[in-house]
Amino acid sequence: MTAAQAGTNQQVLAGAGPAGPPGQGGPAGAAARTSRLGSSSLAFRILRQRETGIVLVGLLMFVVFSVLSNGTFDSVENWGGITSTAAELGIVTIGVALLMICGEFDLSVGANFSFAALVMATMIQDHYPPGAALVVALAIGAGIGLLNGLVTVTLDIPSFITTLGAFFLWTGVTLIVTGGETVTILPPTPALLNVLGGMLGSQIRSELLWWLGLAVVVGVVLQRTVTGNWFFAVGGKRLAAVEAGVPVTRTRVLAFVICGLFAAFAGAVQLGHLDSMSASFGTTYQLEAIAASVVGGCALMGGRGSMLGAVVGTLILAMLDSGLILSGVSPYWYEAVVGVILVAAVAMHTRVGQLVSGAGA
Amino acid sequence: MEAHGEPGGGTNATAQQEQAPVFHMEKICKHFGGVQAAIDVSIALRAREVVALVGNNGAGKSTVLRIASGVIEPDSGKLYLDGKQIELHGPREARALGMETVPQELSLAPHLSVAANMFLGREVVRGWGPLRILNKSLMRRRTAELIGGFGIHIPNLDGRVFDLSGGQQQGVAIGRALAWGSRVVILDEPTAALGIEETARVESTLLKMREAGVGVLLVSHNLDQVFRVSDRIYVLRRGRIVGERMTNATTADEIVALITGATTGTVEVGQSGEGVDNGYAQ
Ligand SMILES: Nc1ncnc2c1ncn2[C@@H]1O[C@H](COP(=O)(O)OP(=O)(O)OP(=O)(O)O)[C@@H](O)[C@H]1O
Ligand SMILES: [Mg+2]
Repeated sequence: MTAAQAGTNQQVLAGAGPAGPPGQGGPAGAAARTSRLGSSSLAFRILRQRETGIVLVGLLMFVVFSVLSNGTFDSVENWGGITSTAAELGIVTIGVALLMICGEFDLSVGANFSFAALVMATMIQDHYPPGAALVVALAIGAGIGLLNGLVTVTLDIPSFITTLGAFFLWTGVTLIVTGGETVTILPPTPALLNVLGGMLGSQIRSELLWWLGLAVVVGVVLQRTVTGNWFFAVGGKRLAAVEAGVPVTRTRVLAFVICGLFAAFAGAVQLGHLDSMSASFGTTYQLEAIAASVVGGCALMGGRGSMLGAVVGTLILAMLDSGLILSGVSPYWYEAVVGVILVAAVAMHTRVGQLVSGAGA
Repeated sequence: MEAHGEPGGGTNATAQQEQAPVFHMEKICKHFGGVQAAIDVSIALRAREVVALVGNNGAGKSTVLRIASGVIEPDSGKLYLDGKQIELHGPREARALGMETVPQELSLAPHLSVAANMFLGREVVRGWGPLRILNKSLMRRRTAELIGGFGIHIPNLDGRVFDLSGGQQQGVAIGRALAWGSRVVILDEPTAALGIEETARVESTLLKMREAGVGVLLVSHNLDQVFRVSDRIYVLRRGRIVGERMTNATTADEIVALITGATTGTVEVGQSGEGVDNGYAQ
């Protein structure tokens, strides 16, 4: 029915053209059409992509580390290691980036990660079916996300604060429950854990596939579905989304739930990788995931970002971790370099954006 | 399809009066803390009519429009569409009824494309459930038609709205309302950011909308514009309607006097001989 109405109005609007002031649609119209063609050329579109710069930075980093490490960095063995480190952070980052696109933060993902995985580990240790343990872990993750979302929207406070509180809360709960002990799952390892984080062949771990597969799925959701569209709209300008009739509250809460779910799943994947879990694992993930998202082009204020960026951002942090060591630099430099890269990346996103598109605006 | 309005845009007052309002607000009150933003506001809007709402800054114009578009709910008072009482819990419900709004504060998602904004909240999809896939090509094509018909020049419909000029963004917002508003279009200062040519284009499109049978409710500080396009004028002062005039039976001086309160005293009665509330309230 709305389509029919739109049809009627389209005719009205189409009729408005010729009746408008004279002089339009002439040379100016032709010029606009030419520039539209020009701006949609492939090279221009690639340049316009916010991710192009950071992909180039990633490639440059790969070349530099490969040279500096005398061939150890770009070995298959090393990339097996890099990608499995990256996968765990990367799965967390998928959720965090999605939430940032929606204009919110989650500083509790690290605590969520270890709490959910510790519960899962404990259940497996106590001979519950591994599948049930995974479901419980995911439910915990989604539940923590739901709580973050509901508190944020009902109390109308910044999610930075809500989730900072949640970080302390769930870190505390984890320590109370486990007493700070590491939980180790003794062989025989359940098959489920191998599916989550075991070796595939001699070099690659299954967690790499989980990471990339989930990134593709979320990327499609963001770019191709109504829900994805709403994440961008809500994060870009919440009032505009409200006035356009987007169910804003539901969309925001959903983003928190997805973020919590991914944090817990990352925890499960790491449990699959290590067969053990401790409250101290994952404690730096909230900041690293935000750093990876921002390096990959997520705007701090929301409304912008992509899964390609989230993956490349994560990969850059993981390459740094390994590359510094293999290049003979002390690993203590990792944090320092991440800090510099973070600021440089944001500066780059801002400047390149202005150069390519800002000039015309 | 094209409704036959009076040629030349001139409106016949008696014919107008016989027609029942398509939308009206009755004794609307709204306060924010201690501020009475709207007090017993009654406004009627007929199909094929442009009604202007004028008043000083802070008079309550945007508040009244936001109530009409479902963004805020009134403390008391009633809304009617086609004589039937309606309750609006959110802008989505207003839109579903064919009531479309261009808010004063520019209301586009900055990082979405022109087409995505045009269809925000009413996306065209394939499939079902949470994974309904956007039909982007159809939305882009329809947007090109709509924007082109409206006469706005947007260099790149796939580009972010953020990268457009302020006037172009306003053009997109207005185009969206005009494209979807089948019964009522509500505009809050729509041409404040536009150039002379674009303003003229918006005004001529408003008149086209009127002829197509839509009721247009317009807030504008530009009295020249109000006199160019409106059929009737309501004056709002400190939350109250202090006057209602047929546009062709009043002068700018009189409207200014009403806005500023130079003519003091009680609620004035329209020169058309009609009281403010009577005739519209049921
Ligand atoms: N959400 C709100 N919270 C508190 N006060 C509000 C709110 N919205 C409006 N007001 C107050 O209500 C009064 C009317 O505001 P409104 O925005 O309706 O005025 P206006 O006539 O649209 O003014 P302008 O011409 O400046 O746009 C003002 O005193 C304003 O401060
Ligand atoms: Mg206003």
